[in-house]
Amino acid sequence: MKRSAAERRDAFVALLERHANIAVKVARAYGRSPADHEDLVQEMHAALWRSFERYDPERPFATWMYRVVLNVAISFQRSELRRLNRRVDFDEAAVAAAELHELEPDGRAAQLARYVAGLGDVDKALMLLYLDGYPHREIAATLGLTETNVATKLARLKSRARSALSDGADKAAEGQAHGTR
Amino acid sequence: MELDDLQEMWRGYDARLDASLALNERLLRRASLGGTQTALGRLALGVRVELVADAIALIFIGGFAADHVREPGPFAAAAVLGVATLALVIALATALVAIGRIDFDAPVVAIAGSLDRLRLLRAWTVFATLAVSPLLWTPLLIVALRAFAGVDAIAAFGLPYVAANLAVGVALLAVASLVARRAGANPHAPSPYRRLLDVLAGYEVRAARKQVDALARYVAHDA
Repeated sequence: MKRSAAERRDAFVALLERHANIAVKVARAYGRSPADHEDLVQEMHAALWRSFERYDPERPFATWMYRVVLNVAISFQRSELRRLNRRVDFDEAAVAAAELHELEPDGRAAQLARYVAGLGDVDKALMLLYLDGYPHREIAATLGLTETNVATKLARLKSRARSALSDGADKAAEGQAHGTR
Repeated sequence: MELDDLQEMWRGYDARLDASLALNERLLRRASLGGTQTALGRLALGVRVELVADAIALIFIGGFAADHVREPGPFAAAAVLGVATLALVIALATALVAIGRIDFDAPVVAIAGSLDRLRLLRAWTVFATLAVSPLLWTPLLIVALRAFAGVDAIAAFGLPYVAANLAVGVALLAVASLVARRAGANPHAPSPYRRLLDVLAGYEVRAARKQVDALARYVAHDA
């Protein structure tokens, strides 16, 4: 039976609320400032709503949502669309960094989030999906790569993540030893 | 650090994010789902407006050429303008079709590829428009004077005047290109002019081409 527009909208909002952190997480990884994050999340909601008609309820919503929001984030970053948004100044970048620290008082997860944010567009998508526990098969289908390629690229990214986080921990320990903040 | 630690760490990040979202629901509330225009939609709107304006110009130029087919000067000027406008209309229509085909439900690499090609097309269009504009000034003057003032510019001012105008256009283009290349090497160039200079120097086209190639190499590792 076909659902009414209001029912469809309610179903969409309920799903969106349940999985809201996917959009926020991806926006934080791709946007460079709090203003970027908000713009991106709104873009993602709009794109999800527009694509919702084609969503197959047999498929997991989170996987479908991940694909759409990653595409929105990449379109935001890659194309000339970024220029439609205001330029990021140093103050905004500082606020974004502070926001990250507020979320991650221990600093280690902040390092990981920062490492992810510094990756290339597609590598970032790959890493986000991996960190959220998606299997290689689903990552490959979401990105449009083969499973072999996903496995190879992930191995490289994880190894780089490991050394980036070790370096970060060393620097933090060094900073504490010298009394720096 | 074990690799599983990365995922564990990320789950902690998730939990904090959930708590933060519970406190801050305004993002969800602010999304007016029906009326929100996506950035891609805004870009499509801009391209559509440009396309309509250029199509109107093309119709006008076509009509002018048909009316002055027996006058070699105005007809030739209209033909040059017509070819340039037609090329622009084709480029804009291609961009509009490409934007319309972008489906956010498709695999990420496919969308990234479409966006990269779209960026390259737009970069080429803007570069070509800016590069050709100084040269089109002369035919535009001839057509406008004939259409709106009934004056045949070639007969009224003489061929040397028209040739001098064309020469000024070429010189202007050379100077602009030189300035753009010099400014491009200077990272402290004033930002409002930055994009214009980058386009003129061909940096935008080069950057867009580089991005297309980089993605192709990324996917080629799939083989």
